[in-house]
Amino acid sequence: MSSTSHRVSTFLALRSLERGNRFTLGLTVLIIGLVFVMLVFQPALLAGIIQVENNQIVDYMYGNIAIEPKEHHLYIEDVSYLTEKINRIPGVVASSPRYVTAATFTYHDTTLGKTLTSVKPSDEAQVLTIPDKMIAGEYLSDGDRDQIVIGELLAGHKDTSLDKLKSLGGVHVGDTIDVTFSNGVVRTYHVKGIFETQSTTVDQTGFITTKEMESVMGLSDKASIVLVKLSTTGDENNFRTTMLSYGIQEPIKTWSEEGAGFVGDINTSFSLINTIMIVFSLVIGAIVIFIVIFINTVNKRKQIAIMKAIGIKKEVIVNSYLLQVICLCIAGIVIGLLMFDLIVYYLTTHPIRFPIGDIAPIIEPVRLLGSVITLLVVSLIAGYIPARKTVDEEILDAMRG
Amino acid sequence: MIEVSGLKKIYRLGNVEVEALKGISISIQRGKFVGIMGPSGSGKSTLLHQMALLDMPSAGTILINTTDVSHLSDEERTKFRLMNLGYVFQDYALVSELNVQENVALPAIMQGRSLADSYAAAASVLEKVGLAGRLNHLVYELSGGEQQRVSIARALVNKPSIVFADEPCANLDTENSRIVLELFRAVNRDLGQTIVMVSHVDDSR
Repeated sequence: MSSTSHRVSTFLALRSLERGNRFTLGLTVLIIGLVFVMLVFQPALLAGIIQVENNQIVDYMYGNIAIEPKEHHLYIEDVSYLTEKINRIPGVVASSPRYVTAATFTYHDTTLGKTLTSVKPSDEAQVLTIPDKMIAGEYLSDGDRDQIVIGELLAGHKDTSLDKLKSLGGVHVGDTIDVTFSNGVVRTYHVKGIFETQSTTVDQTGFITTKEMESVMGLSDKASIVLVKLSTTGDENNFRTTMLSYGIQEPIKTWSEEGAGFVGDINTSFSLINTIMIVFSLVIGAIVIFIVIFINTVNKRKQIAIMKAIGIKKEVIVNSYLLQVICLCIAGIVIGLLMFDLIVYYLTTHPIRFPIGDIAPIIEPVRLLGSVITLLVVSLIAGYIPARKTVDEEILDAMRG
Repeated sequence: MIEVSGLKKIYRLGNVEVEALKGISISIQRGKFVGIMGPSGSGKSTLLHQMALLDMPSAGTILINTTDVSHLSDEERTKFRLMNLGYVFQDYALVSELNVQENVALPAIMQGRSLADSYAAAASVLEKVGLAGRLNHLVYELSGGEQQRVSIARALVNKPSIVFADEPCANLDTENSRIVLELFRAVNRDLGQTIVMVSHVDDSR
């Protein structure tokens, strides 16, 4: 198309926007803005949920990296030597060896089979943040022997209707519970504290000290898993190579690999819901643009025919409508971005309380750009169809109305 | 200037064929002011639409300035109309979102002239039709007679070979009809503009 044609298209588009119906114009821009918010808000919220899940994996379950026993081994051997070696690697903040075993918890008449983990509390506090999540009592100390801390879901409520999962029925700090270990030994522990991380997996477990576990299970200098805290999160894959170069021979897994099993399915489900919602939003946006341009062009059938009669090319007229669509769309996207920013700002200062934790939407620039481009393309297609249809009508048929 | 030979136009209404033009042959010379008159349904507007390249004839040839326009493509016809013809319609047919000057300047801008040049040409021709004081007015702010004069100014702005006028006074009162017709006569007399006008009454009285 020649520069003259571009000039005339721009001229007609600008005059139409300048002198067209202001109310229709404003309403169209507002609707496009809302469609844009629909396009970007849900993915941003899901990104917030996924981040909370990921943070829970790092903060409450695995740290940045988890060292597992070699194949066909139940435990990691010589764990004190291993942790010394790990702690010397630059970038490692701390490491925490753990025994993890199945155990039966009994409180009054209620018995539940759950996971019991032993830790060295001073190490654990440097790797995970569970010690900061006590809602009653205190976390363990290195010298504790007859003490246990349990999660809020395991402790539960006396009124079991308040429980999300089956619980011990309202354990409080100071109560005693019996724990039956996998080797049949039964010990009674005083509940030293109750924690709540909002991670369902973590909040239904119990913790004792490694010394206590070793005495019960007859173990020494072993661990089921060693959790490692790094100074930065996000570079775990490269750090695995570094660890290998320091002679770590046990299997090394990143937090995302450890968490993939249970978080992966949730993320896949969210992605599907996300895609469905995006398609709905785009269809709504396309229909709105189509209707606006359709009504606009149908109302101006005669005017379009006159322009064709006096020698204005069809492409010039179609492009003038497409330019209007682009202007409306850009204005709508700007309004949408402002609304979205306000929503994100509000929800960052007042996060939504989800069962898994406090969620704030996260702005992902690449996804935002993708939404802008998608909405523009869909709008252009939705604007082109009615404009082209009207412009292709015979001059005399359109003039007769 | 215009040579029409054996021009036929047949409309199909379902299974029925209506022959609106039955082999018309006419010749119109440069600088003439030609009126095509006749009762409703006589085919005068149909003839004008074929000569003005607004419709495709069923048979026959139309030569305008030695160009056989009956075989031009859609795009070529659009360009030919822009470069060679001017139009005045019964209902003024102005673009409501453009002001008076912009309406008149539009064909000039489409011809590739600069905006300033097109606006100057529009102002000049609007002065000739007596609307120099109305350049920035929007269409709805004008009377019917004034709108038709804007339409005439738009038809003249590119100095076309021929101006086609399709019942230009049909929607006007007697006084405005007189003003418009006088304007056509003056344009024809003073500028030598060829005009082909359709009317269902004898507007020359």
